[in-house]
This record gives sequence, structure tokens and C-alpha cells, in this order.
Amino acid sequence: MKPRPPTLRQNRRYVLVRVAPVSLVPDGKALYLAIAEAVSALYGDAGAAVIDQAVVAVERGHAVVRCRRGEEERLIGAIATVTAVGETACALHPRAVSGTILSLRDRLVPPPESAVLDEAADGEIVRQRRRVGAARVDVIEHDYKGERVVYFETIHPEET
Amino acid sequence: MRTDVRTYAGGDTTVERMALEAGALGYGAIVSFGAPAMTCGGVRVIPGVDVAAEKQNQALAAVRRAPEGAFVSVRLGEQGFNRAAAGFPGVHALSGVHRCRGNSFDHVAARTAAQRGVAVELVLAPLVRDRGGLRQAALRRYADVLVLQARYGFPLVLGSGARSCLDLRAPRAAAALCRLFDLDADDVEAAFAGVEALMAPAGPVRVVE
Repeated sequence: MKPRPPTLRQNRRYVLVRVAPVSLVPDGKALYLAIAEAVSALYGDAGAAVIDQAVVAVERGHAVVRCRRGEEERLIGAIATVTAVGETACALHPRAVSGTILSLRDRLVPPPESAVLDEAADGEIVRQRRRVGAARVDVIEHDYKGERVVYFETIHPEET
Repeated sequence: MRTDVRTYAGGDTTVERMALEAGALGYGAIVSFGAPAMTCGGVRVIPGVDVAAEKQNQALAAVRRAPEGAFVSVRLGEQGFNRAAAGFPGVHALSGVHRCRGNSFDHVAARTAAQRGVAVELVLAPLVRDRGGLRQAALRRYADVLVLQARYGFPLVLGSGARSCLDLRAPRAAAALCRLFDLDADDVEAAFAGVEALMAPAGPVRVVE
């Protein structure tokens, strides 16, 4: 199939979103479904068709979501209503909007690596305290369902 | 300085972590219901007192018991209660307007709030968490509040209603959500910045020495 000439193609905008918590690397398809559900619920099928959203890249801590030019604010509004991807609670925070993915990659600051502080087992449930960056500590629960962040705290002075 | 006017202590996030995450999103302060006053990571935590009472005298007594320096918010209810609550001394904001019945926050309460400098809280949580009829009702109520606000000029404040740091929303996302009920970006910034003026209202000049 021959591609359309550039002047007839739709103009796109790309939204860089930060995925919280940092430890979550969402599956691209699950993220797309979560955003599509949020867009449809907020603007209806007609609005979703106009916004024409798609997830084009997912990395640790970030994702890039595409939409039609002029619809980026409505997409950001819908993205703000995403509270979970699949079964995992998360939040998507808009960082930047651009006309090219390349310029978004320039602005992408990789999130800090996490380090395990301690670990406690309670039956089949294992709880890990992971330090993220200088001051943040996430308590992550592992069980047969997988892993999820169950508590958010800060570093204690004696642990620094 | 942007302030998120409604966060709760006691969820899955410590107050310090909530303040750090709010700072990362661009807030300079948060009002935390159930937390002591503190500063963490450059973000000021203002203790909040949420007054939920059915009768006016109970609400007034609770407002009087609020500690100094706390952000006092009275939950709206029936029409008569709302008219009285807007005039209580020591109240900074009226909350729960999205749960009010049809006209229970009316022009009399709006005029009183404007005269007393009491703000109306717009909380993003019903727009973020709810779907269908509940969200539509919240959007309708917020649009109605904006009609009264344009007429009487009472201040607005914005909050996320966060119980977890995952419930916080960036100012840009909040502005995009507020556009759903026709609150423009400048008014959103004014609503985020409005808490300082509520906590320290302008008064006559006093000679201190």
C-alpha cells in the first residue's frame, strides 16, 4: 500500500507521561487499554475517535502517548483519570508535549534505580522495602499474584 | 505558591512522602487532613480540619475547637446549613459541593461566602475516580458553582482529594480536568494560589510597636 504524501497526513502530537510508582513498567497493551477506557468514558466514542490516541513507547518510569494535533489537552485530561493499569494501581503525570518523539526523548530523565533496603516474609507474602532515589522508600509486596507497591514512605535518618 | 487543598493522612502514604511527591509535581504546599504542621522537602504541610456535622451548632463548636494555623473546611449539607456555614467565623472553605443536592448551595450561600471571604473547594477526586452518573453530577455541580462564582466572586480552591500519593495530580492535569467544566487555566492557577490569602486574609493596618 502506498503511503499518503506528507501534506495529506494527519498532524500528531506526542505526550510524555511519567508513570508512578517508578517500579512499575506497564505492559504497552494494558496501558493502551487503560487510556482508551479513560478517553471513552470521559469524551464518548465520538470524542475518542477525534482524539485518536495510541501508546507509542513504554519505558521504565515513562510512556509516550500519541494523539491528533489540537487534542493534547483533552488527552491529558483523560490520562489524569487513569488510576490503574490492569490490576495495578498507578498514576500517569504529563511531563511534556511535542510534535516529535525525538524531542521528547531529549527531555526524558530516567528515574532513579531502586535498591533493596530490607525484606520480610509473612507466609507466602514477601515484603521488600526499596529505596528510590535519595529520600523515597516503596514497600513492595510479592505474592502469587505478582508484585505491587503497598506503602509509600520516606527514608529514616538512621538508614541514610 | 500552588497548594493542593485536600489530601488525607492515614492512607498508604506517609505525610512526608505525600509532601515529596506533591513537590515533585510542582506544589509548594499541601493541606493534609489529619497531619501535624511540618515542612518536608521544601513543601509546607498545612494541617486541615474537616468539619462534618448535621446541625449548625455542632459545626460551629467544631470550628471553634480547630487549632490555630489549621485550614478549616466545613462539609456542605442542606440549604439552611449551607447558608449558615458560609458565615461561620474561622471557616476557610466549604467542601463537598459535588455531593450537594440540586440547589442546596444557592445564591444566598454564595453571596455570604463572597462577603466573608470563604472559598468553595473543588475536589478532583470525583472526576478522576468516578465514572458515569456520579462524575456527570460532579461536573454539573462544579459548572453551577462557576455560574455563582462569576456572579458573586467568592474564591475557589482546588484539591486532589488524595489518600495515596498516586491520587495526586499535576497542575497541568488538573487544568485539563477543570476545562471539562469551563474553568480556564488562569482561574486554575488562581485557585491553587488562593490558600495563602485565605490563611492570612488582608486586614486593617495594625501598629505593633
